Amino acid sequence: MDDKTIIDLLWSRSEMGIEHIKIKYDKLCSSIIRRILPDNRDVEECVSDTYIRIWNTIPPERPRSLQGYLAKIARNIALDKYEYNHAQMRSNSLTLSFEELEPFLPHPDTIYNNKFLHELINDFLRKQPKENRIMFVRRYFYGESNKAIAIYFRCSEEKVRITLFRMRNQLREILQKEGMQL
Amino acid sequence: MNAKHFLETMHLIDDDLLEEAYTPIKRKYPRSLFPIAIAACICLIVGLGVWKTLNINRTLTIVVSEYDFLMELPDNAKHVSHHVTENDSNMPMLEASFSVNENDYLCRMVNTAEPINLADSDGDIVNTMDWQTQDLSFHYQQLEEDSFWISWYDTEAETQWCLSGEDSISLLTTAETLVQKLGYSMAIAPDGAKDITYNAVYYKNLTIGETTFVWNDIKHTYRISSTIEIDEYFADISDFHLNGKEYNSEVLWCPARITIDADGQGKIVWFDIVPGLLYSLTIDKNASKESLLYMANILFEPAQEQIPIE
Repeated sequence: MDDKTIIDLLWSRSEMGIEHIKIKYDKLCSSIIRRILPDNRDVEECVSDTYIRIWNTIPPERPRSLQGYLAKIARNIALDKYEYNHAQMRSNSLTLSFEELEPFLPHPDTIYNNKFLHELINDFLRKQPKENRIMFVRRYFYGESNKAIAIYFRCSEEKVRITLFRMRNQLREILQKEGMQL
Repeated sequence: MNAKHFLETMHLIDDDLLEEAYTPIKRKYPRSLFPIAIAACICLIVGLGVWKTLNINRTLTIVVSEYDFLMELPDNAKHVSHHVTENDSNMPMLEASFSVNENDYLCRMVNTAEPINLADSDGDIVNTMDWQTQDLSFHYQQLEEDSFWISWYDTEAETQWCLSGEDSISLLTTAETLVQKLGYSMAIAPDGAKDITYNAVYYKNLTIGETTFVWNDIKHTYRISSTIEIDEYFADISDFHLNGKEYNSEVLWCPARITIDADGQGKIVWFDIVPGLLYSLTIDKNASKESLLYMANILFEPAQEQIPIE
């Protein structure tokens, strides 16, 4: 079933909408959550919460991309759960990707407009070659390892690492050009 | 920036980009796209020609005076990008990426009073090789299948270097270029040698570092490679085929085999079993057992001390 029909089902308050999301996106949700929470019980709980959140937010929301919307919700729920479980500890893959990108993003004390940063980051990504853009998103949003990305693209880990390295540098240059304190 | 802020920032990525990243790759393209692809290739080739003709300037020397960093890249390096970051010991580290002949590299340098490790350590080491020249000590390692690293420490400048690449041969070749920019070479040759060259070659599934030089008007070829095979009849990495009698011998404590043919060409191969390093030396004329052993003993710098046998 296509995403538009699923959203229409949810808008008509049909629980079949959730059933079809489960069939189509259960693996995606589980894999996003599992990168943050390795415990299977946490994964199951967060997947269920994701479906509840979807049910409660569509309507009024009508996401342009159901998959992207679902990914953000699943990730948010997992992060909340993670913060609750481990106030001081961090997940390996997520922490690693964060540490890589940390020096390239604006300092939290910097006063900036979220809308402006939103446009800047998305504009930066849209100007990248598709392969590079996907590498970036898989690494820094989905928290995938370099190895997993290399397998996905059938290329070497080295290529992934160097591509991400260059993108981080480019992003930093753009942010600096816009006067953001890093 | 804290983790929370980082995660919030990543949530600014649009949904359609998140969806795109999780869409399976279509690896087969419809035939109708082939003419477009061919046209694109032609445009690319023409574009590259124009670009070369214009001789666009590229940054081949990176200078960061604040940290006393100077990194000279190969003359044909492209797509150069660099930044200063910190290594695991919080020391300032210059990190540069570049391409040479379509191969991507990452080069790191740190100013340090003693050698340190700058290579990534995430992954199993499957192969290592150590060797020394008069000026530098080299450490080569292969991590898992496709990550290759070579490190060297410049004692005079007190600088640790590290270069990584996607395949062993191009990595060693590019490393030699970088080392030459520093005024050194990865080649191993005796005093008085002339026409010294260093190459990396692939032979019998082994990555081999090869030095050629002329000494006393005789051309010598010296090779080193690492292996995990410990057969009694160890591999001959010389790729130099001779019809002649083979003699058993020793280079220090290493078992060796010497072959000399009727034309005076000769070779000696030996194996240092504990670090797992294979060696070969070939000469193109006036070969004798004594001359081969003499030169082998000059060139051979054991990767580790001999363990005394009680």
